[in-house]
Amino acid sequence: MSFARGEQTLHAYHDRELRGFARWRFERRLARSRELRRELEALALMRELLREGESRERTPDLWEGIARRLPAPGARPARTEVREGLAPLAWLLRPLATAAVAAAAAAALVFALLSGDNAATGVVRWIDSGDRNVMVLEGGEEVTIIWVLGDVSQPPREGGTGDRA
Amino acid sequence: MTGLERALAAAAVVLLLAAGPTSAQNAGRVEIDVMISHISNRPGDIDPAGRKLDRELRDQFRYESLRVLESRRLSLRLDEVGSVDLPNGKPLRVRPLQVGERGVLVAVAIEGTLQTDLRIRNGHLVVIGAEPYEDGRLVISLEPHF
Repeated sequence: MSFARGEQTLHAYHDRELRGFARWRFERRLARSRELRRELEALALMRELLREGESRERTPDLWEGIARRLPAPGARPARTEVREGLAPLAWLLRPLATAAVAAAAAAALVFALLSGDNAATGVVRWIDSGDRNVMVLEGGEEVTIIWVLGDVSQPPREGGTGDRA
Repeated sequence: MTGLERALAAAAVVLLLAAGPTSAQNAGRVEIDVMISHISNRPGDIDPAGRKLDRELRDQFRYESLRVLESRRLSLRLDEVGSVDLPNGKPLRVRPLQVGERGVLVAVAIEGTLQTDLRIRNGHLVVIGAEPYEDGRLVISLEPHF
């Protein structure tokens, strides 16, 4: 097995993309090779550091997307009407609704964290855009949009896997 | 076996041998449609060749015109680097690394701007808005077929 092929298999195993016989064969090699186990640990550590770095350093600037959804100057907000029968309960419904939304958000977050395959299903596996913020829209089945925001005069940092291209 | 059967069997063998190298040549190759477009707030037309891209971008970003500057299909083996020069002089480099159940793993780099690894399903469109250019922005579309 060539070095490049072996590296691909290592990445695929780490990303839980190896299945069936290929996974079994790789795990057998893993059990035999201390060097391979070290490489796997190093890869896991590198990904973890990258993830920590991303979450610590990058605060996505979503202004460009938000600006489009802002109302035009002079636009009047739509009136929210409360039915007369529920009006006396409005003071109670509002905090209940807020609590329900918060609980749903917390549940979604816990589900996302517990779901091991979550990261493996996205199109963007790794990204480095230097000091610039990036907006990734992965909503649909058919398209993924990666949008680099702001100035692009500064180069991205060295390293990472993307320099293989 | 009659003479006719022998002839048919021989013909089948010849056909299989002829088809073999073609299949082998295509195996492991990834076709990636690369399209370089320019969107701008300057009033203008939406290029008919970019209507699919326009459909995807229209709801997300504000622009008035869209021009397709270059459209090309790269046919790459795994680990082979394909390169397309962007109009601003920077190269776009694309390198398929692995084909799996969930799509092709592709390393994409725009020199000085962006490096990324993408796992793209067959026919899935990836749009990268990266480079300010003239009075707008260059938009790169990647769509692999394998």
